Amino acid sequence: MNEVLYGITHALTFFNLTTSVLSVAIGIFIGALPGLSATMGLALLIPLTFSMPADSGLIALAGVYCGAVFGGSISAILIHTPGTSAAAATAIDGYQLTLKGEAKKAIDTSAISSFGGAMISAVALYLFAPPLARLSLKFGPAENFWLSIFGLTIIAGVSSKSMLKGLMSGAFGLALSTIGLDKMTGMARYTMGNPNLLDGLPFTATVIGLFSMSQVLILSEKKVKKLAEGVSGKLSGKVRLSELKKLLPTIFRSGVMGSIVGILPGAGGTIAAFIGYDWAKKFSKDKEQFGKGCLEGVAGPEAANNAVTGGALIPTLTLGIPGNSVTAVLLGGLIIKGLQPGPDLFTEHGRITYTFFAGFVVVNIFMLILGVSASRLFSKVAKISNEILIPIIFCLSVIGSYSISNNLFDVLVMFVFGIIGYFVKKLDLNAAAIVLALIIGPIGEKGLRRVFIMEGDNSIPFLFHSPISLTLIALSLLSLCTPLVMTLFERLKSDGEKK
Amino acid sequence: MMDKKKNLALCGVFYVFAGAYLMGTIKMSKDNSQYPRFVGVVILVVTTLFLIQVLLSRNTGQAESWKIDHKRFFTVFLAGVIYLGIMNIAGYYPATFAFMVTVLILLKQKKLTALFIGTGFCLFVFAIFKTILGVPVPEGVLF
Repeated sequence: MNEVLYGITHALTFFNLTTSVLSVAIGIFIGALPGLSATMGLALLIPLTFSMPADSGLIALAGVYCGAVFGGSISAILIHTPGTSAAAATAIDGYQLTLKGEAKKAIDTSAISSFGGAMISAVALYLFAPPLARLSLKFGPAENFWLSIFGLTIIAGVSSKSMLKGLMSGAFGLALSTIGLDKMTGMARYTMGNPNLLDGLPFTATVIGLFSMSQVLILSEKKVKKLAEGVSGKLSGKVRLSELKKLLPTIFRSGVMGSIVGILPGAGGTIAAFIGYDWAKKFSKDKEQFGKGCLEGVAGPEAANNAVTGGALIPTLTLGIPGNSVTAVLLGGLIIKGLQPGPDLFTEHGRITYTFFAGFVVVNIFMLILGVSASRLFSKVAKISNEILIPIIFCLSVIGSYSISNNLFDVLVMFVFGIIGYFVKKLDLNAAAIVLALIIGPIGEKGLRRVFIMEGDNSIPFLFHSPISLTLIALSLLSLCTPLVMTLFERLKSDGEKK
Repeated sequence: MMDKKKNLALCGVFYVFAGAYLMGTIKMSKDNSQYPRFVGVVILVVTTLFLIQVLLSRNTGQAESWKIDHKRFFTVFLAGVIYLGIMNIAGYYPATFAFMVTVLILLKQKKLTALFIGTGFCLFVFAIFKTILGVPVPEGVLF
């Protein structure tokens, strides 16, 4: 309890409040720009947080994360181009409201709903994260090995267009994670005689390359004409109190659902947003208004996708399994700060963790304030052309990759992974699975090798001996089977509809 | 057709990668090579499963086209390579200014806009990153 109170007071220090405002503003800015993702923003910001205390750094990352998820709705509402994929469902009714001349009303609804959803997920974060972290105390080497396999199968299975491509990405990441000194024997592996690789691939540079530099190459492919008609008009309309009261049940429902979806690793904001939209429509008294500019059609998906932010932090902080690509990068930021997911975060580093939790609430309060008061300013962001963004992201990627260890080799790694990331996107592979494998690969290897050292000839039966291991194996198989079953189900359904 | 070819090429790349990766384990001790061999075999198995899936799949003819403006793409790419090269000599600020102005002009922005953005960005990095946040930037031989 002391740590919870400490966290609240510490999150309210001048430095942390300033960090919160600025990071949320940066996040909204990035989210509002079509083509730029929250993951990319987070990857670029990690190096900036390096000089900050751990709690402030994590608050900054949470600010960018939450800000970007909300920011995605601004361009979705104004120019019918979702800034992030999680805002795609918002574009349906949000843009219709803009055409009706009620863009400001739509953005305010989005800000209020995003705040509501995030607050519900914050409650889940406070309630469920500590007990789940205690469960991880029961994990031995065998369980850690299966946990790493489970994490990979989940993110590879759900996040990719093709499950096998997701698994190929994960396996590629596992291979990359073996570069460097073998921690158990002290021998170099795959370093090609380069001393810069003895510590393994520089994580931040690799992530910036995969997510940010690759985006520079994507944006350079061709000129995209932006649909800016929606922005040209004045932003008008205000949410009335009676309308807000009507929206509250939708926000609550979507917030709870989004938090649960967030906890399930791999599901993510886009899925939650579409379920939120669907539920808002199902429970609405004005179903026929959906698709024509309905406030509930904005509130449902926005509350849901912002609730995912807090929910996704739960498995990330407790088990080290990120729910999506953004939390995978955030997990990297956590590890760079010297913090390991699990029970230690709530005991040894309890003050940092609870300051982060309180900071999560604070950043969402600032998101609401900025979203409602500065929507006119952020609406201008959607007009910035890709031609201007290309050199800016390039140069920021250079600083970001250099600043961690002041080594130009890291810049080179970033550039090479930018090219790899470009092909990863073009070939529908999964960059998030590669990053996750880089993080959990060493944990899995350590677990597996410890089992072999400890158990010798009895290693294989030992890998399957505990109920937790068996549960993780079952969950891994389930996560591999679910997309197959869903595809089969959808195919049968569409065949049935055709007949 | 493009999609199938693309996926077959992807399988080829992964087989070459897995082969090279497994070859790398030959010189390693037994302890060191245990896990990489496991990972190498996983890559081979998953790639083979994907290859089977690609070979059995019907071509829908709805493959996403991979059209790019080559001139624009390679302009940015080459400018980037030159930028990283001259940064070693000229240092971050002069190289960044030159890179930004050049790329913006080549991407058909007005010269004045390019100069304004280039200068503004360098000042922003110096003020916020270097001075306030203390983030180091690459230093060259000259600056």
